[in-house]
Amino acid sequence: MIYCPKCGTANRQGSKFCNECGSPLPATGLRCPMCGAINPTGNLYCDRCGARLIPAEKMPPEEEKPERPSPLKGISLPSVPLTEEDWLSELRAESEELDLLPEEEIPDRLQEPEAPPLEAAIPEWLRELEAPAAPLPPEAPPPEAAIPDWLRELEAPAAPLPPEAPPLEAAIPDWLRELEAPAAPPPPEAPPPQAAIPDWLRELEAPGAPLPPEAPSPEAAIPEWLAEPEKTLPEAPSPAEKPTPPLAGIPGPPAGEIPDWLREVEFAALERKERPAQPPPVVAVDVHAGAPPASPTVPPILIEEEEILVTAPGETPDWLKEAPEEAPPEFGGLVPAEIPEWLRALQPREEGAVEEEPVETEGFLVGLRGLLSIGKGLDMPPTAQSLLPRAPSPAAVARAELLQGLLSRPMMTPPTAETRAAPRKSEWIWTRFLVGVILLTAILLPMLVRLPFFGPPTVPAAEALFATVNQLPENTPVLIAWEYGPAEADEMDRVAGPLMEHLLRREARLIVVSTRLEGPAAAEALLTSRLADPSERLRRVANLGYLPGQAAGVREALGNLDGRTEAVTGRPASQLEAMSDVHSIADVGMVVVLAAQPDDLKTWLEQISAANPNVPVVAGVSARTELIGTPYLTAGQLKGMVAGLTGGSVYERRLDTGRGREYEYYLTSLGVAQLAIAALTVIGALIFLVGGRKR
Amino acid sequence: MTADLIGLIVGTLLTLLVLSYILGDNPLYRLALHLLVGATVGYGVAVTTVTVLQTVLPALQSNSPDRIRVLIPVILGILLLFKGFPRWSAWGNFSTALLVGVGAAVAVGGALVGTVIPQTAAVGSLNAWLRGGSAGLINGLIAMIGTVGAVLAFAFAVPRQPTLRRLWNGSVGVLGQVGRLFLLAAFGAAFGTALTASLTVLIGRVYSVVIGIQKIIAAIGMGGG
Repeated sequence: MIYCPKCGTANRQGSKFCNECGSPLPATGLRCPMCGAINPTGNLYCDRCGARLIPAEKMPPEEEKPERPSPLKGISLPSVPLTEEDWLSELRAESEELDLLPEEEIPDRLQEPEAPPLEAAIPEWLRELEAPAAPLPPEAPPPEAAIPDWLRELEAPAAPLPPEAPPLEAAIPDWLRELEAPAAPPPPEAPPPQAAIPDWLRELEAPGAPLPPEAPSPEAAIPEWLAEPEKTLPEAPSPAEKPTPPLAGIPGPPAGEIPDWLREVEFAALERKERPAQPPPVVAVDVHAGAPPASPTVPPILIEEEEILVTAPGETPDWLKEAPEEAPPEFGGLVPAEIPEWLRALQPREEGAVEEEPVETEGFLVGLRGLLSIGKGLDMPPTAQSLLPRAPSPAAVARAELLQGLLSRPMMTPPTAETRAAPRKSEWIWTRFLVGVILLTAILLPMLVRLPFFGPPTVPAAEALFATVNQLPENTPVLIAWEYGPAEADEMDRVAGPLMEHLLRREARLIVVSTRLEGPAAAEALLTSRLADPSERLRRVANLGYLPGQAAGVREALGNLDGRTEAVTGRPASQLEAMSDVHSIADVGMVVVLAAQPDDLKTWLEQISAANPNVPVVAGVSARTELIGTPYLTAGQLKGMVAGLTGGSVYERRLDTGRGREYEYYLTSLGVAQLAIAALTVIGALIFLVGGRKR
Repeated sequence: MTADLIGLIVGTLLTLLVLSYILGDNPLYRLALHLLVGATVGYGVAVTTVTVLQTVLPALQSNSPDRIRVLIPVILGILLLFKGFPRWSAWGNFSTALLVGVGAAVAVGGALVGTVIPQTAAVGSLNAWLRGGSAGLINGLIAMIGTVGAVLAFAFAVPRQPTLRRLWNGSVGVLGQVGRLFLLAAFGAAFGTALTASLTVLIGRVYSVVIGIQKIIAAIGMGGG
């Protein structure tokens, strides 16, 4: 419920006027302009953020407060007191009577006080910005409404006011009255004692008191009747047109209770009363004539107003003299000096001030104007120069010199086919030919001359293999992995030949498989040459042919030997005499791996170990596979191994197949060729060390 | 002139053509090389086809249960042929996956059982060292040091802390250097054995050429006489 301050009637919450007497009701709360919190009506400062809720001099009416903050800095809207006492209502009525005066009684210069020139001086763009942002209050209470009763009584002794005072009051422009009107705070209920002087008046009196951020000029805070004696106007209206002074007949307060500044004002009024014909001196500031301007930040529209309002220094109190300097006059709450730069930049330029944009002279945008040009300093940051080291390090200098030397070096022309082929051909043909001749000589020499340089070698692994084969019972099935072809046959035949002949001598049945395409053919050629009786081949040998699938094929074959087909005859393996009672690796007495490549040996050894690790495995390998086979031999996975021409020669000598001369020739040729290659390597290294490095 | 003599002549001639590479790349060498590659590929296709058909066709023609056992691989093999056509290559994905999966499983399993475990046990087995006497013991120690050093030769990371870094460089770094020496020796031995194998093949070729020429001359002399 809201109780009417006039008649005490209870009204509904949110009512603006009293249901009984029609007087305006006070608002139920104050919204903080800073944080938006609703505060009780009597609060002067916000409970939440501590901001001042009611400006010291001006308070806008509650219903006309802008919904959103003004985008323009410096625009302050007037405010109205939330409660209005009786005496204020009376003052308002008197003010309305003053407004009803005929216009011809008001001097022309003050009828529309500077409003047209003001509006004309405001740029169009600024008016557009101002209009939605800061709606001005349409009607402001008259300045008389802010006069407390005790002040009216104070004014009584000074009753005969100068004749110019009433017209002055009527001549005050509306915008100035709007600024002054809200400055009146709610007056105290108790009249005149000095202790009851309102705060706003005490703040005005205190010299040097800091003004609030949105404080308007002190003139706006002065009650109308107080401002009138201070202002000196060029023309004074006739006494007949003067209305009744509002403070006439009211006895003043005791002298001791009147502040000094107010007493000075009273004295000044009395003096003016004694000298009514002498208007106070006016300092006319002619801006156009080059007179000192009021303020560099004040636009011309306000300077003209200064021209009117500035009075002689001797006539103005100190606090009033300082006021215009501290706070520039406002117009509609807008302080031009505080317009931000970005807003000034939005102001449209006059046509004459637009500079001619340069025309693009090159590129595909030639002929166009207004293009953004690259400034001189844009391609490099301004701090780049300072970031560079003043003196480069020696390492950097060395690198720079190296780079400069490389760049200054003449470009090498790519060699043509002729220049590339000519020296290489002449060099490499003779080099190759020389090496070839040396090797052929070393190989052919033992055929012509028997060289006693290389005796019979001793290979323990070959001896162990010979012993293992010797222990095989007769007619034992032996699985042979034939992992070499014609390309390696010249070496591997010297390895596999004695071993196969030994197995045939032991009456073993040979079951041949291979993961190489040419393996079965190579096996067939060797076995046929080693068989004493070719008719024994079908009884002694089962060539099961090629095993596709690498490791998987090996694994499959180890478990399904009789499921294959004989490669030469095409008969099923199960029908072969050599394959009798042999179904898988578990049925064979020994496995022989003849591998020219290391991977083949590993594959067979691994799959045999996975399928049946108890079957004895021996190997006949090439010289290059010997390195891989030796660890398996050391670990016991291989029962014996014949490696390369040397191992074959040892086995041949133990077996004595009648091919000893051939093996001797091979061994001697191999030894001589190795010596020749070693000699060539040493000679080549010496040539490189002596003269080749320079080249 | 018998087929053996013709084969001997052709073989000797092709061997000489290949050996002509000692004078650099030349058309005769290229001719022999192309013949060798072509013959190898043709022979491989023939062997594969014959081997597969020899295994598959009799089983498909029979009425035994093996017919179904063979039929599934045949279908998978036919699907694998679609890999040659990009538009339908997806049809061979299952066959490829089966091949790769089974092959990898068999290879990894065999490597574990046949190489990794036995070789590790052999290197660390004192019995294996003692079985060869003092030489076997020294051989085992050298093998262990060489194995560990070769592994540490590929340890390139070092601790960041200075103390640990010095300790690391003093232990692992030294062993790594020893391992690098073993690697050098192993690479040298591998090169030597590969050279020996190649020289043996060369000796065999030269020997066969010499013997072939002798036989050819003898055959021509016998024919002329």
